[in-house]
Amino acid sequence: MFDLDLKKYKGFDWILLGSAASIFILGLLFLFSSTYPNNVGFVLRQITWFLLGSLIFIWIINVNYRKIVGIANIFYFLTIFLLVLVLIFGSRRLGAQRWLAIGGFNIQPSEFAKLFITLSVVQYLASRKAYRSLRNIFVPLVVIAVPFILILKEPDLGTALMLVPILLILLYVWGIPLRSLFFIIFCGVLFSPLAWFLLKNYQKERLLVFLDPGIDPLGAGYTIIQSRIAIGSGGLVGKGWLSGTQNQLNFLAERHTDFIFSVAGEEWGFLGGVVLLGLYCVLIKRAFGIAEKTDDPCGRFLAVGLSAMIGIQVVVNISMTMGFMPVVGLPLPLVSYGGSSLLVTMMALALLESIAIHR
Amino acid sequence: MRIKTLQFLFIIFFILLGLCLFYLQVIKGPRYRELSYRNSIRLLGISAPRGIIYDRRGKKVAEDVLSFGVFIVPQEVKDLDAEIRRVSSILDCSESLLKRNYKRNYRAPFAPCELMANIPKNKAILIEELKLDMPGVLIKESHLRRYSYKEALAHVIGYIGEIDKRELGLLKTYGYVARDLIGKDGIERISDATLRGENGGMQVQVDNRGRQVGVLSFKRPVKGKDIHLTIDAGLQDFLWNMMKGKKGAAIFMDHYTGEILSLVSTPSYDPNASVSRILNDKRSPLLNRAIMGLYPPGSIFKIALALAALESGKIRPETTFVCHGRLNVGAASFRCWKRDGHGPVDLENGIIESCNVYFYNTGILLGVEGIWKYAKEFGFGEKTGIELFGEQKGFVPSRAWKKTEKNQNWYTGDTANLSIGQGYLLVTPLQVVRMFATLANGGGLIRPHLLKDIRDSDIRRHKKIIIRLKKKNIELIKNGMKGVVASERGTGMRAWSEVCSISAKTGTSQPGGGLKTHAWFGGFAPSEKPEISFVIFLEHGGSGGDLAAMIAKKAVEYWYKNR
Repeated sequence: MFDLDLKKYKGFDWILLGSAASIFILGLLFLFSSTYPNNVGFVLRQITWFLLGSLIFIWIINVNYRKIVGIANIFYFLTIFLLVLVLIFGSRRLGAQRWLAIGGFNIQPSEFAKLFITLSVVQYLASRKAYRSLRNIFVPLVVIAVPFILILKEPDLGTALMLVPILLILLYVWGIPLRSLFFIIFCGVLFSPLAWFLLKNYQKERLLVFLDPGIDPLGAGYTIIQSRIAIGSGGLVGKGWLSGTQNQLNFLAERHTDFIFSVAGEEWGFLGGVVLLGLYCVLIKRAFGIAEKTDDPCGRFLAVGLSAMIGIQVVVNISMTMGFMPVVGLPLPLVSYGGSSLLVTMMALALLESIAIHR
Repeated sequence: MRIKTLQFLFIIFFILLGLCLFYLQVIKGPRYRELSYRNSIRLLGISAPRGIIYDRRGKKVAEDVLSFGVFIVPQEVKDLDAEIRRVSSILDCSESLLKRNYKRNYRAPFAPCELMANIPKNKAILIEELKLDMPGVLIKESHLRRYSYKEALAHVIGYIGEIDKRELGLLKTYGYVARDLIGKDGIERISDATLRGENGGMQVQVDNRGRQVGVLSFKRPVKGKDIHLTIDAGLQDFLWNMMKGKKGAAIFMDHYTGEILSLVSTPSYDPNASVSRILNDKRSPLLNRAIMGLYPPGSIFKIALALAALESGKIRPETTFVCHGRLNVGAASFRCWKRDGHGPVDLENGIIESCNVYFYNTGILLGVEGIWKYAKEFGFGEKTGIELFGEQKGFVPSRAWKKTEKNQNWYTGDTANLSIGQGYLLVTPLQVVRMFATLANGGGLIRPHLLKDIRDSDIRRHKKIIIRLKKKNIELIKNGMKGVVASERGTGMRAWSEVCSISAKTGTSQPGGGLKTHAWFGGFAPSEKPEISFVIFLEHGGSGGDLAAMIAKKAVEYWYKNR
């Protein structure tokens, strides 16, 4: 039944897979601790998503990535459809309407949107081979703008904002001259005051609080300060597995999702944190490496887009938990509790391996 | 190669993250460890003082006073029962009460839980001094709203209370959180956003005995903005004392500006007390009769009718009708209140003696359409727009209405009833005083209002709708109203005052069902150059020329002497 033709899988990047798997296993340890003592449910659910993700992983690496990019349009419209659905029927939690409840499971369309939009942009860029003029940028911009606004309305500031650097990085790799890139960035900066008015009050507050957590010690500033204290108190070797729950972590509401790195920091200390950072570093490096070794433009762009997608999330999330970036609600890939995020990351990794194999 | 650049960029970011981690955990690690040890951070909310409400002369009618509450931090207490026992003995209250409050107010192990609010200052000081022997117990200051005029101003100012689920659902986006205090009625409610200010807070570091050893961050609370009302607290209090114990409403208004000098509704309630008892009171003290009460106006409506008939040329000042005590309309007989009749009556006497027959005739000449038109112009059947919730529109009947709603024709008898302010017509006391105001200021339909100005923001502009009224017609009516009080035949004779001349109209309306009549007395003063308009209304208060007139006289004299 399983016709394992191992030669087909030549080029498979084992180090990529290995680092991802290690991160996931560490993540389970963090999850177990952060949801203690009622943690069995969370861990089991995370493993379930992982198993589902594994099946999808195996399926995708056997498919030529070009085929998937080819039907990116379908995914795009599916995304828009789901995003609209969420705005209408989504269940409200913690002041945001981001989840669709389907048969006892919660899925977060904005997570999938990240992946599908990247696919769409890559499809467009790949068909144009190389940069020709500034006018060609217009279409990708519009392609991103619609889901951007829909995601922003949920409101999910983090995911929406993430789309911007992904686009910029893809444009960069596509061959846009540096001065045009700076021009676009400059325009964006000019228009950002407008965006200020689109933000909801609490999002504005989050940005202000980031600049000075002291201005809201009881609200948004509280989470940042507590997270920082948690990480800092880990010291060199950490307090030990499960001991974080007795101390700081009682105060952190999102410690099994967005703020899970503070669990890692408090319990595993600097040494633990460095190991985790190192594993992520290896992951991202290998991902970009795949991009570099691919000649096919479609594969190149896709690999870059996916690497950026994962990499940006890691950097932003960890900075956020340490208090060096505003709180924007981005999960830590492979570690944060959340089926949608886990699935999307695994799909991205699968696509990367697909690119590595089908050169 | 660009991809290599990107790869390099990300590696740099990771190195930076590693350095930040190093900084936080190795360099500042010991400090953070200390902070995290034994949950040594306290969150203390600092509530913002609410804005003060002043009357027009700067007297405080609603303000925050400092109040002290005893709190306990659950996770710092070793023996909860012993501590509660100790606190209850100091406060001289039952342990079970404290235990109940503890259960009700418990939020989190680290959050102070309120045991007792509003304790006397000396007890607060005592507990504060004994704090070291009672770990986990602390005193927190908060603000208590005090209404110095109690029942007198309750319907204008309203009261505040804890926000409920429904309100929280509506107002969460505006920054309200659970347990916030919010205005529930009156000016407190409508100006809540202005009055409420912004709560502050601080993070303090405490040692393992709960003693504060440092402040980590501090957010200063922002005091709410103050509000000035147009109300004259002295006049309000005087009127309240005259009206209390009865049911009804009284309003005094500056008819040039629309500023309300006094608005009393009785029965009333003490906003300083708890509201749940009040809600169950059968006499409905929360009902603001001045704006929510709908009653037939009775003879007081004759003023509007007379003006309407004059303006449309249906009658002239000399037009005379003969009153034999009744008027036959079709098969029915409509009576005048004087059994034998007034004899020949012209407009001025019609007003002075409030002859029903005169006005039956006038009303029939004008017709229900004419009456409806002018009633609407005078603002009946519409809200005035005063800044209070629950204002009623009232109702002005019409031919079309009767056909569609009751499927009946409009009879001349209905017009007759309408002419003397009975039948289907329903008005609020506020609409009535506005009618007099319109007359007094020469035809301007002003918007009655309670807010004088709000600090730091524009003074409202009050649009006045001008009704075209011939000056001589106004003078005619005014003369009649002067006679109501001044003449011996006047129905409002009891309001005659040596201190200040009053022009008014009485009204005695039938509520139906055999109940006692409502008493109306409204007008303006001083007669020569009127400055204020007023109305006194007593639900089932008998005749308009009796108690209502007397109250009006005393109140106007008070106003005159103190203005």
